[in-house]
Amino acid sequence: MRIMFVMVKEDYIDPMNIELLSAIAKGQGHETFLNVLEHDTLLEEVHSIRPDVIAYSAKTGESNVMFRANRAIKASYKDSIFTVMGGPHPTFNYMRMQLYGERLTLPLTFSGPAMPRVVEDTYLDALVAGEGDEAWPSMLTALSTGSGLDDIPNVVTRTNRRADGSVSLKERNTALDDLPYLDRELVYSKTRLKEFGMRSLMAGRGCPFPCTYCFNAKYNAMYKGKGKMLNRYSVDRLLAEIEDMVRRHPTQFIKFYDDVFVFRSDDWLLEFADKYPRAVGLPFHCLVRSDLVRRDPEIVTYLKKAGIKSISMSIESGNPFIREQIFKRGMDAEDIRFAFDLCHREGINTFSNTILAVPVPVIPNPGDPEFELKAIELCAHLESYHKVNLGALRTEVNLNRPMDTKTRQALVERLEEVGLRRRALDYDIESIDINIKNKVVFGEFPELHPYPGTPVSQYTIDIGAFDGDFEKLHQNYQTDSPFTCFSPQEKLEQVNLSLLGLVLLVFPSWRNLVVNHLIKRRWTKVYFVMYYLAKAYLIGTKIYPMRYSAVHILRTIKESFVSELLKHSREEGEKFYQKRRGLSTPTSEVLGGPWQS
Amino acid sequence: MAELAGEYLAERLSSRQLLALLFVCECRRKKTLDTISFRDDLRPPAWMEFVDRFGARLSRLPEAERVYLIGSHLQSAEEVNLYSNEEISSLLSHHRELIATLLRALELDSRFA
Repeated sequence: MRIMFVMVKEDYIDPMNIELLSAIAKGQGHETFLNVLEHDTLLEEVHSIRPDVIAYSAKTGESNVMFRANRAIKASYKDSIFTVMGGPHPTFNYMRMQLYGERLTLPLTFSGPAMPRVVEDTYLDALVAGEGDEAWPSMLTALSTGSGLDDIPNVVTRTNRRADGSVSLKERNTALDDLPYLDRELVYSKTRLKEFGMRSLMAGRGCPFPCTYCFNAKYNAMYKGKGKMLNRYSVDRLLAEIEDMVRRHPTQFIKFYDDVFVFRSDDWLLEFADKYPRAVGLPFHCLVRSDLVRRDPEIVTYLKKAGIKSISMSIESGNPFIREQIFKRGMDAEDIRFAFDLCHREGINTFSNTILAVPVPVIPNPGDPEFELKAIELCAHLESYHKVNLGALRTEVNLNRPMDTKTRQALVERLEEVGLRRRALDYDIESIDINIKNKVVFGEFPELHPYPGTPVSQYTIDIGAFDGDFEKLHQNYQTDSPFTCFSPQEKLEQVNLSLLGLVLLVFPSWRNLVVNHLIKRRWTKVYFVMYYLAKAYLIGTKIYPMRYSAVHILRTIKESFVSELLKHSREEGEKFYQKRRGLSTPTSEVLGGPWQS
Repeated sequence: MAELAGEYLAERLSSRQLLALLFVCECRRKKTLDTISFRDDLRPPAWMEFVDRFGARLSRLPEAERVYLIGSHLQSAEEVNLYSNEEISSLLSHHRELIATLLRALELDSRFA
């Protein structure tokens, strides 16, 4: 069969999902092709290639663009091309994705944190939930032999859809060594990744931690009891693929893209540290958690021995209330201090993500005439929603008994101990400060945007900060916050801080100038240029350092600047997608799909 | 996080029981289990360091979230399969005395109340 994969746009990270599925398909004797909507003409390519199968792997947000592409294909080719989508979006939304020729009614039992009860009209023939590479070979066999797909685990069709909205899932794949090497040729033949010196791959799968902004907790609940949660390639198998990749493609740097690369200094890490320098010897980057590094500092020792150049350790918030109560990170400031300090002493450049603009209650002003009323509401919320124990002070919060100055002050201090602050922006400044204090080399400071289905989205709806309309969200996380609890001035300052936060990592002495003055100005475009320059400098010299010709550097600067500009401007992003030929209607980058009543 | 309730043995353990189990697994991994002794009311330094570390992380969390977080560490750093009743049962019975001692220590510690 002829199989065409469709992706929305290029990035600097390998689309490993497509590369793996293509490799599996080629292993079965099929031909594979790639269409990149960003620069290819979809319908012309479909017409010339005449694929039997068109396959998408979608994250929420880009799924909308793919639905439009698929509707255009199905309008012309109907049943002569089979179309299928896997990836995170169908994994968590298959129950509301209407297939080609289907009249879907949402199951009564369908619910979940912040899930839109809206049908998405996809025109797809099938969906794959969970591990797509598990279902893919059986699916291709069934399609090529003309047998049915209905009995294949993970696959949802219009004839096997269950009334209760559940799906049968195959056990997790624990034998990763049996997978083929990624088919990078498919992607490199049509994208700039061929010229890029950094290659991405994963050493394993799975993460057990419950961070509320991530899909893993929900994913693990789906796969509960279905095999080992954490699975890795053997060191020899992993290195063999890297060696093969380096032989075929010019490679200067390796990025391990695992959610968490290592959890402890086990035999696997010791073997990796011993063999990687000899077998590959290229600088690399990976992600670990600060609390795991503190539990087991030898993780860093062995990564250093292996030749690590830079490391990601997400902080997510400098404020303990946000980190513990809202994001459920399960790590404290000492974990973060210890891990960053250790990496600096070992000469490893650090990269951290920190989320700004998180809706959190603020402490009422002790001089406010409505202090008691506001304090009562706040304490009730902390106790009922977050299960915070306020101790004896709780009895002092009573509307019938006005508080004296001393009691008000004591309550304010207790709330500060819990982690609450007096202004919304104080939380963000605290987050910038922890990055400066820990000498983070490169950091991103996105604003919180609620993804459908995540616990943190449900939290923002529960407290009334978000109305659940995912349609209005932009994919870029450095635009105005979608939360109603922030004033326009606060939103401006959040955007400015998300850009200038990185600049402060280069020039920490500007901290007071930035937080007291610059973030209040409407100079966001200037700050964007400063952000871009700081990012280009730090990424190019500290995090993923590589050597290029002058021509290549100029081209990369131009491409990356345009890419950043598109990401940062809703207007520019929409113009960009309207230019895409083959799509019958204009598209926008939004999260979660159209919001219909 | 409500999904962690019901059919598996690990889901019926309290956060204190899981924390004790985590300490045992950590010592087993570091091959220091034989050096852990609570005789004469002494507290082994490894245990003191362990409870300090987790006390800071857990003291402000409700029980269900403590259970989830400790479970995450057991499944990752200690490679324990929480969904294998056989494995959990074997660990609990093999280290029954030490776990009972650790539980008594945790019950007296207000951070894990």
